[in-house]
Amino acid sequence: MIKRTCLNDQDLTLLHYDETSIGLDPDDARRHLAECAACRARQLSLERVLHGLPRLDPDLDPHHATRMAARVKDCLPRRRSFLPAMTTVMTAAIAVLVVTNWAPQRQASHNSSANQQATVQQEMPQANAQQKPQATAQPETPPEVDLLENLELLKELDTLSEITGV
Amino acid sequence: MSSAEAAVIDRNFAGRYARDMDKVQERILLEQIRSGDEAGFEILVKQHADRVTGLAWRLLGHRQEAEDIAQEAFLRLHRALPEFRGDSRVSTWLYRTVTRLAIDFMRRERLKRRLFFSRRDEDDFDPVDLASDPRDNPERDLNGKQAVRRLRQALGRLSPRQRAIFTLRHYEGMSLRDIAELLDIEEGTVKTHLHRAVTVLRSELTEFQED
Repeated sequence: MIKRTCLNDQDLTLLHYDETSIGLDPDDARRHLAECAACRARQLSLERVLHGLPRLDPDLDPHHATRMAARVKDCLPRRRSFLPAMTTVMTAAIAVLVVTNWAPQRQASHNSSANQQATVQQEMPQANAQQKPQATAQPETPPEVDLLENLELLKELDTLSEITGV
Repeated sequence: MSSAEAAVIDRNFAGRYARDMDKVQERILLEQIRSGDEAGFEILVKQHADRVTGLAWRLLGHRQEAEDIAQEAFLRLHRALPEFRGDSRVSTWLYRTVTRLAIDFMRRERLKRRLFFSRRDEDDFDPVDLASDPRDNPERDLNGKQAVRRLRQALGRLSPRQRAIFTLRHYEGMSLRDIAELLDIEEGTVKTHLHRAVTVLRSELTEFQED
């Protein structure tokens, strides 16, 4: 017969695993078990099941750890191949930037040099016009903004102006 | 102090020292890995592979799935290493990750079974586990396999969390406080789950109650 002070199933389960329910003193519980035949019988019945459970051993082979390490290594991001790949991508990106930015600039500077030459020749005295008649024949082009931005070309223009005395 | 008492103290100190050394060695190894030493990570995996796979296998009951879960746990560890402060041991971290991954896996499997009425059930067993080893006593071996099979069936009746808590306490020997910390739940909840798990197992495994 289960008395009012008897341990419930959860108490017995927890006692089996060296734990106790909240509010239950383990020493009191063990003392009760020693005195109460009914609780002791229930405890024995529980322990018979839990002690009778088969072992669950995975039975891993001796090389399992090595195989697992190799398996994990295969899945890891490859640090060594990552760096050259990044370098290649960066180099390609820089090359593209250089080509796209420099090519129009060169074209613009080439065009502006021609325009500058034409403008200068247009401003030269008439005597000079005999030497290069084709220059005056070209249509008059206003100085471009790009030309002003190019310091090198401005310097060239100054030098040319000094030489010609204009 | 008697020589016997001194020996006990020495033994305790030696044990504690060994554990501390393990911790120091682990910290050094983690530093090496963080500075790019891939071989160090390989050593770490080898150190923990058997225990981690064993836990996953006990939780899931299938070798292939257990190995997949273990592998995923190691990959997550590798990703987490830059932020790994070393407050907890690597083994604790791996146990936590494997248990959570296994619980998620079991929940997904249950859901799939419910949605698609799949026969893939706890009645199915890993053929590797059921294969007989000729070196053993065939009759005893068969009884052992059947007992494992019955236990697996009974464990399959538990919720994933109950199954994990029972496995961690009964087979891994973890304290309920550690299990609560591992699963991030209250200790009282762990106690309730453990009791429910044991109740279900007792009702399922009636043959073990016979004298």
